[in-house]
Amino acid sequence: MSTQVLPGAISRRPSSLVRAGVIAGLSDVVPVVIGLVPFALLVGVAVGESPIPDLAGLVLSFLVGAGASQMATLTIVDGGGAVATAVLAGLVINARLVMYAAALAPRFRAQPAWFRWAGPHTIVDQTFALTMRRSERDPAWFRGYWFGVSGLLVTCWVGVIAVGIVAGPVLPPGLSLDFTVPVMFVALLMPLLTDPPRRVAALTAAVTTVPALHLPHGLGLLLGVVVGAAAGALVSRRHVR
Amino acid sequence: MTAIVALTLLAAGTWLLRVVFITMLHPAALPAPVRATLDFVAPAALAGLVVTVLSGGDGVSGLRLSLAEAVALIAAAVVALRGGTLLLTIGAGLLVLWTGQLLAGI
Repeated sequence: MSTQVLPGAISRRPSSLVRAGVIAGLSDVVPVVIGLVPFALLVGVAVGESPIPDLAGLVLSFLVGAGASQMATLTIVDGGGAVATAVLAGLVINARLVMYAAALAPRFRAQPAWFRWAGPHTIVDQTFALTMRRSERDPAWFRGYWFGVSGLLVTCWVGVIAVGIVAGPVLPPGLSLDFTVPVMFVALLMPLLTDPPRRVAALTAAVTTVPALHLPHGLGLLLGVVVGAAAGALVSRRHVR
Repeated sequence: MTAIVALTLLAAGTWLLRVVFITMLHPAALPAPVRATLDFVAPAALAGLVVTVLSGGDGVSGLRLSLAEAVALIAAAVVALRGGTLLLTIGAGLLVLWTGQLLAGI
């Protein structure tokens, strides 16, 4: 019996799946990158105004990879706060990344070790939300997708921060580009509201977060996420019964 | 120098938060009720982020949207619900916002 190579069979090769994932990731992340520009500019301005040398500030922005916590830590240090307090405040703000990582863990499970150690560095709100919208589970495809999404996101994040450091607030305020951030989150949220438990999770999180925002160091958001996710799980259990 | 040390420690700590359940611990180590909530983290986090950004971190008192902003958000939500791409959704939101601001300025 002869082995026949079918047309299109090559598309099942891992390299081909990685390439398909990269293309899908790049395509998904472009609008998100546009939405991130104003916030990255703000972070760049904050880094430029801090006592850190510009290049070190840029490298650290890449290493931290989480703008809100970076701004909080810088603010506390600039205000004369202790290093431990500043770092702790930043880590509390980033605590939700633990939940993101736990939710993404099944997708990282079949990956090579180097990817499981290095890949999670780019877990942020945007990469998490984009990935959770995708149902593809092939490990090679996911690796490519993560490369595509993270590569462009991080490149633009660091690039725009550099612009913010050098040029300061360059955008005219009348454009209201900062409004792209909530619109971006709405755009990512709506397609996830596919069933009652998820709607309950979102609504509960929003209602819990607003009054809790007065809690220090972003704890209000963390509380909202925990209560919202728990409410969604509770409703889901009742649905199953 | 203090700021560099603080940000370096923050970077190291944040990386640990990111890898802990991917490389070090299996999520199966989590209690079952906690695992059950993981599917709902994404909608909860995004909804929480929306209200956090809109209020500027000031809670209820900070939630003051102009009419143009409110309509723009609703327009973006409708476009997203009707299957619009992210780019289309963000574009629609900004277009409605700018139109609203222009009309309010007249």
